[in-house]
Amino acid sequence: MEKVTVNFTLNGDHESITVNPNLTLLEVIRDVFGLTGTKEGCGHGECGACTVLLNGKAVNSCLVLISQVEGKEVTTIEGLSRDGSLDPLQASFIETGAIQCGYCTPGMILSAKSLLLKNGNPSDEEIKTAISGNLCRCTGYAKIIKAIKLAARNGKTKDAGGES
Amino acid sequence: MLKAFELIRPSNLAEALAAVASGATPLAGGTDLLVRMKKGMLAPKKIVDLSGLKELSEIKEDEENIILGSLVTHGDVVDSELTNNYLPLLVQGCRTVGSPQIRNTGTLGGNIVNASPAADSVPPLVALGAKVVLSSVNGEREMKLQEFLAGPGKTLKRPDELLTSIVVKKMKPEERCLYRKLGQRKSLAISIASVAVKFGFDPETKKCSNPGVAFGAVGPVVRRAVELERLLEQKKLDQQAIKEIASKAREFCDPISDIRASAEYRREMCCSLLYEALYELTC
Repeated sequence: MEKVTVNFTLNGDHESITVNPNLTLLEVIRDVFGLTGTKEGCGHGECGACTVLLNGKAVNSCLVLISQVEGKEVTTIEGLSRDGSLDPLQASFIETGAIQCGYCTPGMILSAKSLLLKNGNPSDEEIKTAISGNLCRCTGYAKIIKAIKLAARNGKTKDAGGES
Repeated sequence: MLKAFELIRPSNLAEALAAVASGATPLAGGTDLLVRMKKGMLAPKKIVDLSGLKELSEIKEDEENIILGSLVTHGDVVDSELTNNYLPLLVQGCRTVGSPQIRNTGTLGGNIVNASPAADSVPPLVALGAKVVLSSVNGEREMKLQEFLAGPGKTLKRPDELLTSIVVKKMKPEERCLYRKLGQRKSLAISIASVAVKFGFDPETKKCSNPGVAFGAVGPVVRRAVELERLLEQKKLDQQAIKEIASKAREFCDPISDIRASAEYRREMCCSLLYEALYELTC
């Protein structure tokens, strides 16, 4: 099998890799880069555990062939914190207790991030739609929705320069 | 891991068409192709990755039509100003596809070419009389989407052809529309039955004009219910009339029984979905 060279941005860093073309983005993230925050659940796009951002939009990394990310920006859960401080979503998930076993959390947070990037003040319905591709078998979703609302509020406070 | 294959990465449409002509399987969004490869249902020897082709990723307009590149994703349709202004029925259909992640990756062209009777972007496109453009190294041809769909998983696309764009007449601002889908749940649900309805409506006379009705998941292909459209045009659409017309929906579908629902249930649901849609659009 002839290898392919793929250039893309991973969590802000330019990367150029030469790999077999039959790898998914998920396999590259976990096995080539060792970033194991992104989880594999079903492997068929049903559970959302492998969700990452591709150019700011949530996608199932298990259903993206590595050549499809050529020239694009990939963000995984490891890329959300800045200079050692957590993203408002990560902080609010901890504060709200929106985590139990934690397996769905990275995907859940990235789906929420995709929403907040285009809508800083989402309604409950919009939040539910945004996480409708992410299964959580522990929490019952109530605390997750609460956490996303809290992050939206906190994010806004920050953007407004500390004013509430 | 996916089985080994040769990957072709074209830099323009001409190279992509040459690859398709050489027998390569086109990869658009991948949300269906990769699942089938993982399940062992398909093992293509050669794949042509279309994802770099900007010329197939645009939504454009001319005076009469919206022209959607085949690589436009369902998410693009939901977000685009052009489709929201001129094809709200298609926006409604695309909004019910899979999940946000699937909508951000899966393409209109892929949804059409897979030819699932349950594809959610297809009933709106068929009700709107959409056309598809097929390209090959030998040229281009255009046909009605309704005629393009030949059976479950079957289309009239020749092996050397690529679906490159979808052309849909702009809806008029006064036209009303609704896509209604029944699934086991709201997200990641394959339609058990669905209906797309659009028409112009005069609330004074309760008469409708230029109707389009298409059912999904209740026949081998998505098909316009022309007889129902005729009835809609003939009658004054009061409560009694919409009940009568909706109850006729069962005659215009040809469902199968499968893991999701029985044929009889699907027939009943066609009537219910059409009634709900007509009620919402006229009352």
